[in-house]
Amino acid sequence: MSLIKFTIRNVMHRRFLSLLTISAVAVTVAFILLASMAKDSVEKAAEKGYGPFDLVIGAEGSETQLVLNTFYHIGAPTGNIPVNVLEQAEADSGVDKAYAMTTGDNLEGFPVVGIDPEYFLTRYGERRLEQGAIYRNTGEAVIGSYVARTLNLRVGSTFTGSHGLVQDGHEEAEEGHEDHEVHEGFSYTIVGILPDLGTPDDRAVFTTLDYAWAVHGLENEHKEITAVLVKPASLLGAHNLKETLDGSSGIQAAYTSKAVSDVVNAVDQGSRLVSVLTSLCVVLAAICILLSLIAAAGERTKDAGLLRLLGKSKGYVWLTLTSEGLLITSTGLAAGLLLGHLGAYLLKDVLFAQAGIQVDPFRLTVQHGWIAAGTLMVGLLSSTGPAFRMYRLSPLALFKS
Amino acid sequence: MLHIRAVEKQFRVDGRNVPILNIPEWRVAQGDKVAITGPSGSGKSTLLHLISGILRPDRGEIHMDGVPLHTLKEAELDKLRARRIGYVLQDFHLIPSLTVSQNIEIAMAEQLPTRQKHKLIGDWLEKVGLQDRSSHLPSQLSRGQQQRVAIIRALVNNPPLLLADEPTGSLDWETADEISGLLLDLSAQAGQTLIVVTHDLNMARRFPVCLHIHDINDIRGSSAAGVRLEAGLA
Repeated sequence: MSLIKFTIRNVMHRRFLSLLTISAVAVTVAFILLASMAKDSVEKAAEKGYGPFDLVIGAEGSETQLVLNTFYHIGAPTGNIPVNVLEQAEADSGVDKAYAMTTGDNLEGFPVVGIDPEYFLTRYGERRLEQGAIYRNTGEAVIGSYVARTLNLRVGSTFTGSHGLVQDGHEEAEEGHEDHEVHEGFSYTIVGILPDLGTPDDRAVFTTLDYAWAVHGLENEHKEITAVLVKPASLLGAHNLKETLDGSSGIQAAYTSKAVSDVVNAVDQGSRLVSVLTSLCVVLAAICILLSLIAAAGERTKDAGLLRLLGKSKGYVWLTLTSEGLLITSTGLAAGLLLGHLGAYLLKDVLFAQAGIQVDPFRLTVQHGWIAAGTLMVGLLSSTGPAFRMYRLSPLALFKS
Repeated sequence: MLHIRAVEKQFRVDGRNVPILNIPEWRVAQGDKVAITGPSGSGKSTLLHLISGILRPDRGEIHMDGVPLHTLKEAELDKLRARRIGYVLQDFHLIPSLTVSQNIEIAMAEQLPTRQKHKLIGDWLEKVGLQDRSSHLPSQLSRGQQQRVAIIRALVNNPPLLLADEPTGSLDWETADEISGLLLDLSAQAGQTLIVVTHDLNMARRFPVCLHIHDINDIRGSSAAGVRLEAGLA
């Protein structure tokens, strides 16, 4: 009879305890996998979240808040700045491209962003729209692929925006605005749908820069913008512009990469806490395997003695328990990987909608290999003690009462 | 087949050595059927443990078909037990997670093709009337049926030597009688040497040779001259 068949019979014979142990391993693996995928996604989002725009200009306040709102469409902007800041930036010789951005409204919780359509060319190159054409006139809009999927919108659909950055009952309101009135008088027509960009722009609605002014009927002297995205011509150009604008009349200029790296560092701090929790889970899972195998070794003292009496080698007896530990661990590992991916699949929309983190639930990475190797190693180490106890048993154990 | 010479075995109990066995010389020929009786603690089971190599003598020699068991390494003894010794136990000791046929299969030589194994198991189960129980778990069998399975497990490799330690000790009178007959019949058919340790005098009486442990153990002082009991002639 093959060892694997014998092992399966033993595991099935103690199916309740085996199931508990497998569950403990599975939950641990799923937790580690989800944490790893989320961290990976945050880092990837941070990497490609801001494109070539190394500098961002906005109202004074938190640099992180300015960058998160401008590029990741998360949270509220730091405030508004005069429209002539854009002209000042465009006129700077150290600047290659500069685009003003206006925000303030939302469509079912997705931010409506006013920006020059050339932004897409600068940021994403020659990529074609999934459907339709880019907006040209006030009231025309292009929507991100995720928005189109979620709200089931098509080219030609119309909508009215709500004031505020998100829907009622969701997240934070725009500073100073508690009301979320619907702008019934101003209607948008969707003229295009963006392809899957893999960036936070997938969950935004884009329209002409002047939409906020048109919605609120603002005159020229009251026109303001939320931020200016700057693609510097050189590092020196970025530095000079920052030196010029930063701190002048309620304006700040921030290096995007620095703010993003602050966020990533904060995430790293958080992931350290997750690592501690993960380690605890691993220890608990290892203890589960160990206890299960100690119980098995205790139950099977006489079986081990019998195997020796039948002429099975010490190595065979050692393998019976080690293979049981490895079978339980690998079953837990497989279940955990499935559970982790299923969890990622179920959570991906929530993560993207709430935090702009795009988790690819079906992507295999090198992390999978490490998780599998680590899990099997934990299973093997946990099995070693009880298996060694069985290994040392004499056939006489069969005759001891 | 079996030659035991000047074997001594002591156990340490409460800090002192207690002699259990002292066998000047004992020979058992191939095909002999020997029952050994005696009171509890007199060394009957210890004798079987020594013969099967799971216990080593303090002194003396044990030869099986010329092979000196007392000098073999543990791994060599494992191989010898697997091929040449069958062992039947009082409490059967079937592995609870395995079915009847798997409990037999686990004792079989690994290199035997699976189909041949299953054919052999089927034949054996038919011989003992358990052909319809092959996929049952031990817990689904009566004690007598479990012992029959244990007997097949011991015999399935056709070992030349069969040892049985109180094989009827956990059975009622009627089943015990049936199991005694089965052991004797099956081992006779295969020409195997059978050494049974038992308290069951009814069983012992069915054996051509029935020895009291004192007959082979030098306790009554007869070892001075070197008691030499030829199994089958005593």
